[in-house]
Amino acid sequence: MKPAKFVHHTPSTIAQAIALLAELAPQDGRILAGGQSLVPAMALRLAQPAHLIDINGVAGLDRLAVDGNALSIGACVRHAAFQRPPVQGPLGALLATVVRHIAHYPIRTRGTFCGSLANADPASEWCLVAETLDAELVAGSTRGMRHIPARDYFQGVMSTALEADELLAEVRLPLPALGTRTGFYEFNRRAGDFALAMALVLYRVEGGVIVDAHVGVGGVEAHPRRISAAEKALNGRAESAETFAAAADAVADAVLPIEEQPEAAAYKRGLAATVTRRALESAAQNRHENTGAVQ
Amino acid sequence: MEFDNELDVPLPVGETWKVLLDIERIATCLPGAELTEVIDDKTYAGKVAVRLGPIALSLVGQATFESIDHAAHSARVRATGKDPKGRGGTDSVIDFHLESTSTGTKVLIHTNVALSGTVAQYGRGSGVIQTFASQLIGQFGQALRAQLAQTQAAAASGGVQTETTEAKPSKVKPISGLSLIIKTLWLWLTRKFRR
Repeated sequence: MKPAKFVHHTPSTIAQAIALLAELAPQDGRILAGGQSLVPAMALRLAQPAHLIDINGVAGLDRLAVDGNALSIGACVRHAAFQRPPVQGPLGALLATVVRHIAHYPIRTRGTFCGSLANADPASEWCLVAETLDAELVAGSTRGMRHIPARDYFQGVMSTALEADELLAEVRLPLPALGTRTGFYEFNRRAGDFALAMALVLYRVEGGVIVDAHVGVGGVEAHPRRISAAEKALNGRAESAETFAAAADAVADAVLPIEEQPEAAAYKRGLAATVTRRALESAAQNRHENTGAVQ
Repeated sequence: MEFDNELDVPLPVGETWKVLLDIERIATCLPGAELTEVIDDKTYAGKVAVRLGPIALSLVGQATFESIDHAAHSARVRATGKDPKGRGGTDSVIDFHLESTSTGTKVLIHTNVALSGTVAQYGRGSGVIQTFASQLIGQFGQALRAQLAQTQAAAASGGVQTETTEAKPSKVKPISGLSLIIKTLWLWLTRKFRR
């Protein structure tokens, strides 16, 4: 199928892109980065934007580099850029693990990290990463650059704090402290499908107990969310099957699955608990791989 | 498709009834909704903007009070809307009923939504719809409570209350219809793009 008519704009600087967006957003002007969600929707004529502002030629937006204590990811950085750890330490290893769950290789060579966050699908892996790591999102408009913490960014299914005239220019992922264990587990029925449930956990072990636990669950609720009850169940306890089970139970109690049917919701609760437990188990095993960096 | 939602308002039933029927006021509390014309005291024209990921829909239509029972604090609103680009439409009936509670009023909302066009072809939506309705009704409730608090504060400082007003239909109806469409679209998208 062919898309409805649209005008293709090719700015070469962020300032030009933002100015175009300010002008065209009221006429359903959209940013085009990887286009892995927008273009199929256009081909089906479900999306009919009148203008596309193609940022692939904008200088500097493909920057992927450590910047202070965060990994800075520009708007045109593709998923495939994370296939090898983009940074040393736990964050790079985590991103290289997670990226393999995102669709298939051809999609990963075009789709972008920031595009996933702008689209905010409930089952998006990168959205879960941003939420669990307390990422900072940088949105640009003619009013200037705005920094949005991830916890204020996600508002619902495909609904975010971004205004129609704002370009998600950069996402900053804080670098976890040395020795941080990470674990990710995703369940779906076929490789590359949207996650039915997934969990991402981070914590450190100090003096034999877990500290600074982050537990994020995605694919279950309208958007990924850190589950504070599960984090409380981990902090101050030793790594053990009982501790992990308590955290998984806390997740099952805390989540509000999108599914309306009671049995489907009950299934999702159980699944959320299972992926959390498996993510925690994989984090505990990670410790052995990272012994060099650990206390 | 039918579903129920409820909303708590920190006002007595009589006051809440007046506020909910003040449609020009209510419309400002509805995310994405815009009241374009008051056709008569029972009919309102408006549009609702829905933006879901890559898709931007605007539904243009009207809401009509089919019945208003002032004694029982019940009302029935029928809302119809269409996407000008032909991607679908909705014809929904929403029943409101107010009940007194210890903290004020509980607004009970029963929605019966029918969808047509492209949107409807894939519109099973039973899973996601209720979540969206709750989310939007939640946003609406927050906006309404914030507005009430403001009005009460103004009344407290200014002396006399400027608070309640006359009768108009409640915009909660477009909200539900809107949320239904969002949910349906999302389901549709995830199925279509199932990788």
